[in-house]
Amino acid sequence: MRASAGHRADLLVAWPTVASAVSVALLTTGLALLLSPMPVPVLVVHLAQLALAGGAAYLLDDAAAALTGVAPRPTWRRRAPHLLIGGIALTGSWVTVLLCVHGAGLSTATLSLETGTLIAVALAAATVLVRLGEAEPGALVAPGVVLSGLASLLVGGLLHREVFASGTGAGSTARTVLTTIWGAAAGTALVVLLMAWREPARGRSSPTT
Amino acid sequence: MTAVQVAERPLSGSDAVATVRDLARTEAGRYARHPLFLIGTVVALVMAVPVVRTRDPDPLALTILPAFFVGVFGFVVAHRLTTSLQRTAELVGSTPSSQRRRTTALCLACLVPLMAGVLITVECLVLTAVDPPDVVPADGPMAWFGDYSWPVVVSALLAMGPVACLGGPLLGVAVARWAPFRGSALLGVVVLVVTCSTMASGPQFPWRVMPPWAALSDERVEGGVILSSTFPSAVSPVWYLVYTLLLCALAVVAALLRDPRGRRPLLWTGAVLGVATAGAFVLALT
Repeated sequence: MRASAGHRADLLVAWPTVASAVSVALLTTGLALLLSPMPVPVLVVHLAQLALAGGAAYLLDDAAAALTGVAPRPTWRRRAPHLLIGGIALTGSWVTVLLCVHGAGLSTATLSLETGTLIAVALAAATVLVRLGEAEPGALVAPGVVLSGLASLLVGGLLHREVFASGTGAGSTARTVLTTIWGAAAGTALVVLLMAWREPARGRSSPTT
Repeated sequence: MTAVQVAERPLSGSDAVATVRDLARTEAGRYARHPLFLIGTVVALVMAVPVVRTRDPDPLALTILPAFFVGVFGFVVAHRLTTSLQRTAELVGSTPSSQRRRTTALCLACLVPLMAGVLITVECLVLTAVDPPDVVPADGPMAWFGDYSWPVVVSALLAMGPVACLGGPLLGVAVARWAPFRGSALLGVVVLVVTCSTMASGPQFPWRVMPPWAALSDERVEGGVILSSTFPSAVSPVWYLVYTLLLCALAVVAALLRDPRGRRPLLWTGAVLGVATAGAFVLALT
């Protein structure tokens, strides 16, 4: 009985995503309280963005993909509860982060664009891996997103180059250029996501013998 | 195919050492071939060139390259290598070895990133010697050879570079042994980086040197430009090196403690190491 309830919960909730979202919210709130009245460091905000994107990569994990792939139920319907609950958790966590950085002089819209882009990139990479037959892409994509994001931040810092648009001055040319690049990256990720999400077998006529 | 769990047969001392040596060689090969390790090492080696050319008079800042690209990446590599053994537990369990020997072998395989860290540090030394940074004013201080004694500079270089390259993977093995759930690698990386970045760059001692990676040089910055660098008088880099090495040893003990058999000697070792680590930390601050 208990095992059955556990399986049902696993079907509804992507636990690593929810755990990541809750951890990010708790860590950011804790740091904000600890450092008060000083604002939360920008690096922590970027880490929160990357961790949420990493958490989103687990949304498409489906250990039983090999078995359920032959079921007549469309993939998106099977994954809808994961996406819905995970999406709510990620949104709630991001709103908490924004509340914690309120007053730090960072643009909420630009930060949200960056977070949305990172999540879209993580989901696109996970979808491509699912398409290639990986049942649990989160274990590969999540550390990949976080490490590549941190690497970009580190190299940018050492070479005195901004990577995140939110790190540039409001109204500056650098902000405009970086915002455009981030927007283009989001668009590309969404196109890849939509293309990889398609179910190739659906809609075709059944093979004739 | 049927996987058969073979009971661990007692091995003589030399047999056990030979088994661990063979396993360690295999794990070291797996580590050295892992794409994330190769990418991290190559990126660190390549990035050192333009970073040195920025000519900031804080050469120790270069150590962040091996610490991150080999140490933090190594955390994920070691985590994945360790959890891969758990994912194939039925097959691995059929081999005539024990979990503790496999963990020991994984810890020994972490010498691979240590060697990579040494290589990148040597590259940074050569590049800095070839193209020395400019200090403002010209007779200003720089946390480097010439202005400070060589044991201080070498200790700082080792602690912030190669030892961090060893510590990250060892921590990855320990975390994977104790928390092998999905997402623990992600959580571990975030906690490690948040801890090191927020504490290590903060102004207050002793918290600043408590994390396993700390910035041991202070920079004088004007208008966003680094003019000179010094070692803070409140920290002894030599004892900080001892402290980080002891933290690495504690990570090994923590990883080995996951095996429930014969924990008592390890607990004693851990206790002694814990006291020694606390002592080294105190000495690093005096």
